[in-house]
Amino acid sequence: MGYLALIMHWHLPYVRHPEYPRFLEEDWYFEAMSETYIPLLTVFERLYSEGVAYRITLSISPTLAEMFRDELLQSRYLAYVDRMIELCTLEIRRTRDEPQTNALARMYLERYRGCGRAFRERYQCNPLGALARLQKNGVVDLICSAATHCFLPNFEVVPQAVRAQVAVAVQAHLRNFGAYPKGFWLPECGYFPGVEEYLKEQSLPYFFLETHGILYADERPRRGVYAPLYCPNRVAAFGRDPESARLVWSSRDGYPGDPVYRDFYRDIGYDLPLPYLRTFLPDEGVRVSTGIKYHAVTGAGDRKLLYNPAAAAKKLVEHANHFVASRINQAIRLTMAMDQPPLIVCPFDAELFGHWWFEGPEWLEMVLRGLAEGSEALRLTTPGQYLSAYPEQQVARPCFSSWGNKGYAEVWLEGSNDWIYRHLHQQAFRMRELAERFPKEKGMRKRALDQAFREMLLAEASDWAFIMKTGTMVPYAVRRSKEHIYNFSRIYDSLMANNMPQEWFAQVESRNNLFAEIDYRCCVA
Amino acid sequence: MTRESLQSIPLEELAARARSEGYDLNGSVDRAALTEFILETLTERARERQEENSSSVRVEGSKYEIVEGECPESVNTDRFPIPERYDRTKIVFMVRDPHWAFAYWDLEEKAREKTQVDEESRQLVLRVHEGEIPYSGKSEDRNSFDIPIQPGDSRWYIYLPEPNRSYTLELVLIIDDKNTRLAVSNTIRTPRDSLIPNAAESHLEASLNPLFDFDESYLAGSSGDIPQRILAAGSE
Repeated sequence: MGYLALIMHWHLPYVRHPEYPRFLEEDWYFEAMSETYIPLLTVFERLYSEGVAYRITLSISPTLAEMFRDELLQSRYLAYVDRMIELCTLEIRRTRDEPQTNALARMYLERYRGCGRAFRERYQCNPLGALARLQKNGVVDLICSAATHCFLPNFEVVPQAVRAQVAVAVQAHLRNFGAYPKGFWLPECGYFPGVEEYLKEQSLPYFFLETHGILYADERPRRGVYAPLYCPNRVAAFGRDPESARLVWSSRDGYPGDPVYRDFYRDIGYDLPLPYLRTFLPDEGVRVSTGIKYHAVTGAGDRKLLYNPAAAAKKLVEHANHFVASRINQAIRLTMAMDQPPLIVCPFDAELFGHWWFEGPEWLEMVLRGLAEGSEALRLTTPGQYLSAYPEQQVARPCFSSWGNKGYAEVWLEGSNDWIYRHLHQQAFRMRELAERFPKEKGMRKRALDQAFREMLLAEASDWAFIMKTGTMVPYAVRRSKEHIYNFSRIYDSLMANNMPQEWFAQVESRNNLFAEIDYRCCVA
Repeated sequence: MTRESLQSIPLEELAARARSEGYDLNGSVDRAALTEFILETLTERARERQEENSSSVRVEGSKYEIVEGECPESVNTDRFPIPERYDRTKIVFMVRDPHWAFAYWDLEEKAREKTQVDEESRQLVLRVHEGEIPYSGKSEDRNSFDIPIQPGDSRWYIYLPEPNRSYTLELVLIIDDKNTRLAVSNTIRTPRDSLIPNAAESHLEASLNPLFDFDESYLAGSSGDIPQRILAAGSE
């Protein structure tokens, strides 16, 4: 018999701009809420209420959790849903003579109405409670990621930064879920030898790696990626199964690229005349994605067929059955080659489901049902359960790696983004200097030190370097990097000179307000 | 950057933008042609970026794709001045992949002045050492090589010959064959890029082992490409 562990990583950077009535990049969060988070929660809750015996591990990044609980973003999300409902209503009128498109417009209207209702009524505007309940009910294990999703290998030279990212994440997780994280998600699966020491300090028992992080360990892994390795300090490392990953992740060979599924790129925000969209768009002349997409993937090229939900639903059944059957076959094959039951680890970015792959949440539901129905050859599990059942594992040190392009640090360290590290490392040194110089502060000075710490963490988010590299929304990523570096430096200088500009500080503190219970002293060992 | 937004900017600005993207103006300035050229260039660039990215990066990137083409200016970043350098002498070495590493450095004012005197006999180099540098600090000729750099440089990508090897950098000023160490970096270890072979297993046995039966192309490899050593305009 073998086991399968499904892992989903939920993450967005902290984007919150109270200084503007409406802010373009906040749509990242609103889109993900409607397309990914609410649909996934709905799936997990439905399966639980029907008594389906599934298990899944969810990594909720601390920045996303802080956004879930933020009242400003909660009210703005409701306003966003209202705008979407208005746009869908307009679309139903505009497409009244095009039956197929009209039916799709009605589908979107129902979806947004459903999201609004679920957000307001079922989740009281904050999905954290629902996630905590799922864990309490024994179907979900919640783990955390680095505080602001810092790509940790690029901070190996500043241990205080790595320590702070892990410690703040654990504190925030406890506050958000009322329970200790069961494991840790290394942002971007970014591992450097030694990062496990910081996890050990926080009693985090395991983390995940890209396949070659395990395969290229300093000792040949006897069980390939189908069992964890213990690092020399007994923190466990689980490796991604490449076979199942390709089926789901790849837009070329994987399920999401099937011609009948809904296309991600084609959107009415780019197709319809600007005057028609004007009330919806955040800024005159800037076309944005609305989330209303009427076309199917179809194939290469710009000519796209209209999306047919019935055809997609049929294909979903086929793909879900294929995934379950091929994992069972894989487990049988692996079982014969191993001295203990194999573990197939499938980690995914949550935003793959619903946002990028529209049908993803339904596919996942079918897969969970299929696997929970039971096969003697394969059972669902979590990394924690597997370690409890099979505590004896090989000890070896994994290899520096990530799940980014080409498998190492290239995405977060290249010509477009390498300029940030000089500043980020310097502010980590300075933060430590501040903590040592002001070890027991209270009142205003403590607030200033805590805010410096927040600015340092926000600047370290991997998202900014990632966006600079991939080329979308670059000015915003540059702005965020510079803004937090600047804020940190100004607070540092003001603390040293004992001369804090009060009005400016109050604005910064109210704007970048995550981690309410942060304590600057935790960056010192 | 959309067709509408390009159509709304002054012709001069449009021409400057097209020129910066490599358009040969050649005397004539036609708004429609300039717009088409810029849009095509942006589309092509986006396609190239997509092709460069792995599936994980592509999916993750989709989270941020809410505008067509380039994002509008968010805010003038002049509002957030950050120092070009810090007045300290330091060199930091970072791993990028099994064959490439990145270094950046700062020099205190005094040390910087020393490097900037314009003399032919004066040369600034990055000396790459295999392993750690003994604390006593003498550079050894064995297992080291020099990369000549200019006084104005402050970062560099370095090709390292071996995966799974330790390297340390030294910033050295050479005057009349006399070496002066300006700074020494941390030591890095390049990652492995292959599985440790199993001595007890024949090649045939290894190829039949389902635990290691992967599509090799899926597993990561190091990049043979030379990293862009560019200073992206407006990003620093």
